[in-house]
Amino acid sequence: MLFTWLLLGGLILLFSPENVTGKLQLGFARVFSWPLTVSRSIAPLAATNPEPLKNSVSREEYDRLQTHLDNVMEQLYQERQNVELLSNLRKVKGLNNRFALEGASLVPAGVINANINNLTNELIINRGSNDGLEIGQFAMANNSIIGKISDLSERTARVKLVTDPASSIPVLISLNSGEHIEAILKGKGNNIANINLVPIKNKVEITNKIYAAKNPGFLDVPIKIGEIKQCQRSDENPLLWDITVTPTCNFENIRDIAIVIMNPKQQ
Amino acid sequence: MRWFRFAAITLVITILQSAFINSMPVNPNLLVILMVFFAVYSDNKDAIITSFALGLAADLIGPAMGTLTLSFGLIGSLLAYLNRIVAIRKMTYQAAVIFIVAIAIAFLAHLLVMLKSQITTEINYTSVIAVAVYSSIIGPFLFLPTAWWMNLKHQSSNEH
Repeated sequence: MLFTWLLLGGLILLFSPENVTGKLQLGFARVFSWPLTVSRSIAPLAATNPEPLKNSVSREEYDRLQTHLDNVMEQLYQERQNVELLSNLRKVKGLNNRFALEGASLVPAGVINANINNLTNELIINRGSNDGLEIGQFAMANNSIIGKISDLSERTARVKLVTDPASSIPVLISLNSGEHIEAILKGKGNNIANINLVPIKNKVEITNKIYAAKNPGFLDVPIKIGEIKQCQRSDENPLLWDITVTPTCNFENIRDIAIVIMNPKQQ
Repeated sequence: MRWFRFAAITLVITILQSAFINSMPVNPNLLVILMVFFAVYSDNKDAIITSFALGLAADLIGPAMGTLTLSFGLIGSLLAYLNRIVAIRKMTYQAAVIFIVAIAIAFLAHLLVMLKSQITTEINYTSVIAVAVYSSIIGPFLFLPTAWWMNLKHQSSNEH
């Protein structure tokens, strides 16, 4: 009888809406945020024993700067397009001349807990609706987009990473020719994501960069997500590419992120 | 069963598992080890309650609520019934049981997550087997301190 009741409780939990059960997970992370953060900060120390290097920067720092450079190059490309557009429409005044991310606010947040495996790729952060966060806002780390806010409470939020199997984000593939192709990036778990439905006629190559596409109200300039790691013809449809993308940022070592709030409410 | 002690050890293990163990290169599943311990050393009723409770704790740090509660509950209860027929006391048997249970829970939870979130992902066999191996190696050695903490009479392998 006891087993039946507990089984019933488990089934209720299983079939309850995710926004209800998610509150339990966020509540747990909030209540035990201190021990979780402390344990997370100890883990990398125990896991690695880095050798000191001379006349060099860490891989993390190199990647961060490289991503920044890629973002600036992408912004330059966008601005060139704007200049071209403006030069074609000289007579029109007051056309959008706002710089990228001008007026956007970056809210820093600490990672309470990370859940990264083949089923889920999520972060729990110590900012919530009280800090102006909303569902759908983009999260950045090391100058790259890492995911979107998927669930919120007053003081905590869940960031669904771009590699989460339930994540689906519009992206731009920057080809070597300078052309940009629109596509959808879907998470595959285990720190990788996939892009399908790109016709084979597009010359997609390994190391082509992937940018999160503009999203009105959430992101007004493409920002780098990662690079193409593998690119082969799809087994299901040989006319399409099957593209594997690795994110720029190493999610497992993230301790701090920033949330992009495009038009913050004035206090 | 000393439920306050059980709650305390579950809480500590859950926090350790979530924030510390999961980010280590060697990452045994301590909650599975604990579940096997209680299934082996408690009576049936307590084993069922602890299995579901540990599953709930695993869910709080897991991918989707309910999936691990059911997986732990079902497999823990089954193990408790099996333990009435075949006593699992030798360390090697305990290690084998932890290995099998860790794999079974991973597969069942994977199926339930796919059912709940309507997504299709491939199971990472390497990761599942690695966790099962680490758990089975470390597990039997954690039984003694757990028995001490729970104030249970730990029966050594020599008795059987």
